[in-house]
Amino acid sequence: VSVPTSPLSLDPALLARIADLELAARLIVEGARLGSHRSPFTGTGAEFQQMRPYLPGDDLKHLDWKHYARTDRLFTRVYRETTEWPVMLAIDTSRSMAFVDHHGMSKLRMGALLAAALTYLLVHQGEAVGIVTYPPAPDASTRYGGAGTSAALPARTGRPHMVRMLGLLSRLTAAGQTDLAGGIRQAAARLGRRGCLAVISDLYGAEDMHQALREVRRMGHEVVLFHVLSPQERHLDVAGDVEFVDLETEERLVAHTPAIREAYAARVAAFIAQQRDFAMTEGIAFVDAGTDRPADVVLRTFTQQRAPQAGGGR
Amino acid sequence: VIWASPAAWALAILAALPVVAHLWSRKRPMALSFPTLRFLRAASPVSRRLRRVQDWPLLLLRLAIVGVICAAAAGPTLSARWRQRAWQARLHRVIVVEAGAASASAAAEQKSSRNQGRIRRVNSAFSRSSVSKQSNFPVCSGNIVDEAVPAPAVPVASP
Repeated sequence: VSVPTSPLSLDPALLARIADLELAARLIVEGARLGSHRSPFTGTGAEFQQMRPYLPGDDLKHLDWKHYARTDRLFTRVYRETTEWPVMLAIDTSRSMAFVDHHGMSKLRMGALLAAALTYLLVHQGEAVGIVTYPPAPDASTRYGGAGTSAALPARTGRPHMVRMLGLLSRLTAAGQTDLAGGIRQAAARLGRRGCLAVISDLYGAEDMHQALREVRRMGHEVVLFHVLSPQERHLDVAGDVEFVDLETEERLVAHTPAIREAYAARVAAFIAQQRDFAMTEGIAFVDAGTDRPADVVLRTFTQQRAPQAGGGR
Repeated sequence: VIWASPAAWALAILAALPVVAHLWSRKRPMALSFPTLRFLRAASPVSRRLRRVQDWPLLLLRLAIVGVICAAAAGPTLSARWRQRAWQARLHRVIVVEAGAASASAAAEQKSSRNQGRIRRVNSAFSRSSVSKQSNFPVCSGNIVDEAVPAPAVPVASP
């Protein structure tokens, strides 16, 4: 599902500069106009919560027509989700996520913004949400998860938990080498019973990831892949001779970029198509979360993509 | 090849200049931290090969220019067979000086003897062997003869 970028969409460069992650998350959620949408992760709730003025994009079936007949004003009925389905966010914090695009938006920052927006959205809808970052940060193991584990928080509800989540997200640093499979298995283990796993990563090291995701699917969890790439990675937007330094291995490679640009772009496109095909085959939602895309548009794309599944899945 | 001044080959040390210039002017490419090299690695060998092809001919051309300059300074002469044969061939030059009555005057004789001395000196510069073998004869090359032995101004009496 492709959603055109609205002129009112949040500027990625602006989002990259907002230090307050909660504010950024609120802007993203409100920008995506998800006020009265059902949670993208849970089924239809039954408990009436409140009424609020209608916003464009609200589901018309929740419109209070009787109230409209009396007052000539449009109001939307908001329901509280009653089915608690824990959601774990697995964020790739390997060194490759430290890459910064022309707008100053790093892939890690984009991933943190998406995770913050999802956390904000889910907590305000009464969902339990947790987080696992991998590979573990050097100083995170003792503070959050115990020795030898990644920085992690279990799935919980409530605003205090959201504040802890956002605090952890604001302190994320890129370090170490990609271990997608390990992070996915760890997050799935923390989910316990059936839940949803949202993986936010550039998917490098996807060979191991595929098997881990199959295992997670067999356990009955739902999976969402947010694929974070920068436009420079897709199109190799650099000129002349360049000495590329691998962020994770520090291996060096000199290349004449005009000569390889087309072949490079074709290989990246094939890689993305391969990941998308795998996701489709396994029944996994795949969301393009490029750093050049406004975060609210990414979130709206995801919720619209999930809407048919969330309603009838359970 | 015969070198007129082989010492000029010492200038070959100037060949170091193109090598130094080549290494000096080789710009180090801009370093860029990149998330992964997996897609670059597959496409990069082509570009690296192109880069080598572009650089080496330039260095060879510069070295060749220095080599040509050194060789020219050393003064080469190609010692071909035809040239060696020409050098080894004897050169006979015969000058006939009239010693008749018309030149019997003392002044003419003195002039003639001075001329013969000049002829011998010049001849020795041309060919040592020819001078030694023909020292008894008034020998000189034709053009020098023309200059050294002008036509006698003294009228010759007919016999």
